[in-house]
Amino acid sequence: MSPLPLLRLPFLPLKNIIQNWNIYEICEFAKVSKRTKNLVKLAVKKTAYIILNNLENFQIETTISESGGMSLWDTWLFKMKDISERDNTESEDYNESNRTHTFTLFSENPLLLFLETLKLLFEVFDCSIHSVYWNNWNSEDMRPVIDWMNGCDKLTTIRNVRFMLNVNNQMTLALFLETFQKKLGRQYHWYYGGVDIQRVDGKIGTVMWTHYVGSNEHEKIPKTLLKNSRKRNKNGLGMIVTWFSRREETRFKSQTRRK
Amino acid sequence: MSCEEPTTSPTPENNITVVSSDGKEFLLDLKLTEQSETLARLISNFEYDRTDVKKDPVPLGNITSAQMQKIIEWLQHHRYYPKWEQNDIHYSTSFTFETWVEEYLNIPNNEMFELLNAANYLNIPRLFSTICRIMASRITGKSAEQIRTVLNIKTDVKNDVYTGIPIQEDSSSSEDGMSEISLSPSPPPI
Repeated sequence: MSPLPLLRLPFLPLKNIIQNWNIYEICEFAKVSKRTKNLVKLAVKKTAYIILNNLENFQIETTISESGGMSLWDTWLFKMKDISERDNTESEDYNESNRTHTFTLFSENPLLLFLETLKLLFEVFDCSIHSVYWNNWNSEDMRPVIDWMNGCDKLTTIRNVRFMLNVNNQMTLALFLETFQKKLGRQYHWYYGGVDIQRVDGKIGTVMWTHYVGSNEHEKIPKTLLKNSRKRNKNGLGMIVTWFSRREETRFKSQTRRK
Repeated sequence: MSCEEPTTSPTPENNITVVSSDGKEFLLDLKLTEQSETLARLISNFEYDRTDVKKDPVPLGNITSAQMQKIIEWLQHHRYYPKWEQNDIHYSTSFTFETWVEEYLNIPNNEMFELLNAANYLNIPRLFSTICRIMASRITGKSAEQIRTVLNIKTDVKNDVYTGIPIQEDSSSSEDGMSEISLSPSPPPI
């Protein structure tokens, strides 16, 4: 088969061809050369919402939108795995139920691959990071990612950042608070009610229940929600909250508290 | 999709003559030219759809007789198809075509490249879009390195950060210069 003279085409057909590809194919084409990267930048004018995660492996979840919304679109999930896992992993998968296309990429340095893929996405698409789940990150891996975030001009705000703290990763929150220099978005959670919890060693903390997410910061909490919450609290929740993990079986007595 | 194709022979009243770059004349039914926005606009501008207007041959300087023959074959096949409407082609994961189209476009890459340029020039959206999708399908599922092979890109610039494989500057023979055919098709000179 003779070579495909794609790059000799005028821009219009080339743009049409590029727009036929999915995000993974667009990224691979952009990686071919500087010229293909520039072509992709010109041809693809789309917004990409990104969620960063680390569930067993580094993950970039990307949702592309032309209209500004992101709910009805397919999700493209990049998973970065160590090259040693190549033999027992499918590199491409599509889950119809949640419309997620998964691309598993392999490298001797998955973190570097994660960062380079992130950089490429930001170069090619109009990207914004919607959420970062730092739950399973360690400080060593977080630092280069936060450094990249701080240095990325296109990244101004991360709307949602989550930590799940346990005895092993308390340093990650400290690291994030110390080093992250960009803005954090507001989710407009309404907190109305909570429980005081007491650890077996006597320490007391308050767990706030998030019952509702408002659409903007000025929206008032509906009275019915407040009423229902108070009714529940009156009934007495004498509950036991499991702190950390079930495995630790560290239990806390709790008592309801009206806020 | 299949459409009935009654045989009609062009008559001087319902056809125009187009001349390819190598001087060969083709008699084109006006019905067929409706699929080409370039020709349709030209016919409308010069009122060639009127029987009392003298129709001069239309030179198509960018299209060879072989390409014109191929295009007429396409126009004939789609003669009774409904007007083309661009669907949302973005991020489609499957590239399936009817058997006739598969056979019609079972041609070498360089011929398909020329045909795409011709479809772009004549502004035949169904053919243009179909060839674009066929060409796109030849890249799908390929890694950057495999794409370099398909595109025949040779010159190294730097190493790929992921694989250590050289990233190559696109300076191969297959990329020398852009096509001379203009981006925005305009009616050919009379």
